Amino acid sequence: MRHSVGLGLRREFLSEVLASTPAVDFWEIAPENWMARGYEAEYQLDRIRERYAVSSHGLSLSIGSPDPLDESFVRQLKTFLDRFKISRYSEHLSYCSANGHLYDLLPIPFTEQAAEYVAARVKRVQDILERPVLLENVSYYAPAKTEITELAFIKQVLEHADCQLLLDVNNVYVNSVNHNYDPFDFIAALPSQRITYGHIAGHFEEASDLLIDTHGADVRSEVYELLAFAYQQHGDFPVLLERDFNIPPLDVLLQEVKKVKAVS
Amino acid sequence: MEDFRDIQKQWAMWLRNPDGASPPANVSSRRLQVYSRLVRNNIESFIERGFPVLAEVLSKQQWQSLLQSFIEKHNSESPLFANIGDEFVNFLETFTQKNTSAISYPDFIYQLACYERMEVEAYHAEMSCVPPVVKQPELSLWRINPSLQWRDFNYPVHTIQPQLVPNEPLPQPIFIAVYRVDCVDENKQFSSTVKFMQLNPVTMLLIDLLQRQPGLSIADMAVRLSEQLPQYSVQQLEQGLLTTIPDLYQRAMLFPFAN
Repeated sequence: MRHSVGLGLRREFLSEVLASTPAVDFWEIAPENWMARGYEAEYQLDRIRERYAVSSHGLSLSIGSPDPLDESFVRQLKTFLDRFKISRYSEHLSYCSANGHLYDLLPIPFTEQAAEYVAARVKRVQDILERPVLLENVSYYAPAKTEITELAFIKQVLEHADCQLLLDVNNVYVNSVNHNYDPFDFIAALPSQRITYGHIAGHFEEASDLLIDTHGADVRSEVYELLAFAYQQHGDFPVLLERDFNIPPLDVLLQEVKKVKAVS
Repeated sequence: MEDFRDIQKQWAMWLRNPDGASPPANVSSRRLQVYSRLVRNNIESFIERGFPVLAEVLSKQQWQSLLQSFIEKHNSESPLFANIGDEFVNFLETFTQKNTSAISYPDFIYQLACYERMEVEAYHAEMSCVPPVVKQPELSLWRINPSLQWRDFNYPVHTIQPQLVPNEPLPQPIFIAVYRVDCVDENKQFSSTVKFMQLNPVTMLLIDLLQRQPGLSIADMAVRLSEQLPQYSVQQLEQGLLTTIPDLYQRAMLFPFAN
């Protein structure tokens, strides 16, 4: 079976994509990198949309933040997604602001209270966006609190918000090394019916017990194995290859997309 | 029971000021350092790209200390990375007055940052800035290029570089306009250029007038400007505008209305 596999769209190779229109199942963009970026950004994105399907993956929603939900931002997001007719919107099960933005993803304390809080905010976002929100399991380097497990936390949020999971297999791998658990057990325990989208990426090994989720290297073979395992356990879902640093030429990335497509 | 939000606030406080605030309890300091590094590298890379001249004219110690103060003291409201530079300018507006650290800064840093930010703002302007074609400028109605912004500066911000740093404010303020010119070629490839222009006081008044009131003819502009420039007659102003307007149109600072 050939899976649907997309690639993260970067400005580094945007004009090449527009000029050569390579065969890619879909592209993914971060709305925060395209909103309020001027006429050229809109012009380019319109041209991408004429030729391709596009998914969106947010960065700054800060769904688990102690700060109030930024509803005016969520409304801007809706305008943006409507304007470019983008239906799939995912975000990180994380937060990036507390008394203002820090612009980086931080781990939400794994408590029941936090899971309830996040679930209520996800519902509110889904209401404003008039779209389902997919939540991504994030990589983290130190848990802020483990009153419940990471797995229990994720499952509680998904159930109570009644939302879908973006399964990032690289994040599962990174976390399994950083926090010493079995990534296969973790994936097997996730609810199949909620997994509708996936991410795969490369990471950096800072130490044998500390992996950093850089999106700056090729996907590792262990992570390919996890994706194959996830398909076996949960069935097929579209997957997106992320590459945000040390970006190689487009044709090299397209080769890697092919490799992801061949996973079975 | 401890509220999870208190844990988050403690993390954020420490991330903003790792040397001053106490770290979150029971978390490996080596792992926390990863977060401190990620937060800093990310914000710093945005600021460094947005303010290259400011980064170059300050000493390494001044620059590092300025970035640290920004991360520590400024509560950035915008979720958009494109606006981190705006947040930095807002922070600088009051920074030099509030600065109590041992490190001092030249007075021009806020104005230089405003000037550098204007270039980014011009790129981010949402309207198309492809200059429309006009055959008879003297018969057109005019508006300002929608990306154009101008402001006054008390320092020669456009010439500042490490070897050319002003010690004193200018005797008279200068006016600088920054704007974008777009082009779409036959293959639909889009390109744009940002231009800078120092304005004389009369041109500044003209641009200000057209920004507040788009759609004036040259004759209308002469009448309106004569109210602010009583030393010139309407006829003199109109004669002058017949040269100035086509010139500003050539520079793509003014656009004609389609007629």
